[in-house]
Amino acid sequence: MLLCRLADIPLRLENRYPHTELLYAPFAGDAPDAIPLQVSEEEILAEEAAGGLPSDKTARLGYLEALALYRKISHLLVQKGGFLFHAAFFTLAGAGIAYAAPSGTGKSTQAELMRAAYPEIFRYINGDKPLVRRRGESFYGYGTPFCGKERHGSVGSAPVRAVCFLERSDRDCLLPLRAEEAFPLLFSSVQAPLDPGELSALLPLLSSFLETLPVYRFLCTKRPEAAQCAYDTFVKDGIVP
Amino acid sequence: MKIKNGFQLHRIGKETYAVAAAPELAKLGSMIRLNETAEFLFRLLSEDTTEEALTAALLREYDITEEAAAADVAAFCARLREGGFLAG
Repeated sequence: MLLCRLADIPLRLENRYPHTELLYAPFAGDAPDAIPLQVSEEEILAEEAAGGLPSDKTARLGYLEALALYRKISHLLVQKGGFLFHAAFFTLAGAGIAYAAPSGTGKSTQAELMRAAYPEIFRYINGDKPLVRRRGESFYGYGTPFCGKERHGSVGSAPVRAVCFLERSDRDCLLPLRAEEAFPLLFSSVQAPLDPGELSALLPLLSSFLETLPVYRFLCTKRPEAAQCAYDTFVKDGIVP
Repeated sequence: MKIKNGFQLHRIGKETYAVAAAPELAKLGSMIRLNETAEFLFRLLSEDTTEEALTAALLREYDITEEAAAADVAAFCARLREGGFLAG
């Protein structure tokens, strides 16, 4: 059993495998009024399709259990004003930037280009699947145990200040997107809801997210100039100081 | 014919989307964008109906010719049928 907090939600994880605790340990701490969570063997084995599994059987089952718990947490989060976002999330001088795109488009590449170009002000929060949650008028992105195979992440959070939907291109530019244009892109980048009730809670949340924040279509090459282009836009638009 | 159960309509800005709530519908494509006319027809398709009835409803609601109404209905129903969104 492990008490922890993810996206400011206190959780009591009723795990079967010790490896699960290893993964969630960085997020352990006091969790008054913790919500109990556990997953069945069936739910654990349903995560078998995930890549990057440990070879040791017990560690592998622990990893799958940790994944199944994360999936359950992401569904619970919707009822608490949040969602799982398939994006690379980092900060530039404290301003949270989310790079979203289908797998293989170049989220990690672009995040690494930005890190290489501005190492003094760059910090990863979660390189692959942050949790995002509304806090007051703002949305915050959170570090979690699942941050991609490069393990780019931290225990912490930052306010989301801009969202970019990436597309490979032969040129680098950021084009503003209206919320209604970005909506299908965002919907395909979040954890799919399980049932109509969850969908009813998720849709207005996604609208609020897009209507609150600057959203861009980021046409990008793999050249270092892509990072410069994005950074210049963020500074010009007052997103990054 | 009617729309399969499990869609929710969601308006954001000037657009309306029909979003699949049921996982089996999500396999077809999680959402479709509806303009004003399409949204009008989509709502009518929540009940069992025909292309003729939809055309008549469109004529009552909008100032368009019968030919244009019938063409709009046929095109929209074809789009829905192709996407697997219609039952019956």
